[in-house]
Amino acid sequence: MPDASLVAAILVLAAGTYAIRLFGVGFGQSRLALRLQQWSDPAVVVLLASVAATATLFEGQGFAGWARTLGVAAAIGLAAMRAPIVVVVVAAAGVTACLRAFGVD
Amino acid sequence: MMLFVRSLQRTSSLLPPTLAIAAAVLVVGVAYGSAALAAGFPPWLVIAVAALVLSASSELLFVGVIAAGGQPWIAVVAALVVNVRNAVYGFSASSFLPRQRLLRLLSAHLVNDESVAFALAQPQPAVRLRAFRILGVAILIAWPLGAALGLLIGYLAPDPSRLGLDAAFPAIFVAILIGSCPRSAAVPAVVGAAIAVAATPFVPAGAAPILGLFGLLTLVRMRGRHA
Repeated sequence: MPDASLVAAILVLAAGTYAIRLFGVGFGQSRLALRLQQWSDPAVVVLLASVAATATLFEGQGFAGWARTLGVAAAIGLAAMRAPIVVVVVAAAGVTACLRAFGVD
Repeated sequence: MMLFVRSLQRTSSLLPPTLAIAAAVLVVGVAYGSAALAAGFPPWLVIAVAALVLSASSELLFVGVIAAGGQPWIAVVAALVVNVRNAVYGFSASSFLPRQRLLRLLSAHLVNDESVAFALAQPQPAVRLRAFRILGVAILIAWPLGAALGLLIGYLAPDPSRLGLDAAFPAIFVAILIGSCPRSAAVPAVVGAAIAVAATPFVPAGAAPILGLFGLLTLVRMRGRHA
């Protein structure tokens, strides 16, 4: 058995995450939410961009290294050329892996 | 993605883009599974978390904090902060989710970055619920399955960072954004990303993307007249 506090933490995470989702779905039809919705659609885009940018550049609070950064840069290039999403994702991992194989990190 | 969206308008077939996104989620799931194993998580727990939390970025963050020696409770708070954005997705999703109570409760679990973005990318509102459901269920299968594969690869390849899988996670968002981002959201997205990046060294793990929401303020001038 793993650490009990770890299991408890995971249960709290699962329940909390579901509660957050339900909150959004449940209040989505309220008048306030209808007003919020003109903001929530662009907010989705902004959040995705923010998550992508920080996950690219940071490992914890330090720079994640050039291998990952250039891998994601390759993904941006391919996505701009309308490559299928699987190609984009696999290329990102491939470029990063190759750079690391050559000692860039 | 745009190519997919275009072909989708013609054939109204949701399956090819769904499979493509699910395959990408699977690849990220592999990254998550191998990272979790490296952090010392028991395999059954990794898969249980994948299915029950079903939120890639928060799980990667959770594992990352634990792997860095953080307390489980800090990891939970950080992961929940990351998941706050699901409430925003929920707002958007509520417009097309079924009214029937049980279905709505079940559908809420499928709310995530990809499923809501995919639904909103559908030009016809009538197709949105179907798009959301198909991709939501596909991710519910692909994410834990990817995690299981990641565990397997983690056993076989002792240093998963060599496979570059950590780059797959941001790449999936890049692909979705560039494929389906409305032009009007491009400026707030870039500004928000810049704020998040600038803030990351100074705020608790996982809070920076939330600060990125300040990028929305660039819309205020445009929207002010209507609101």
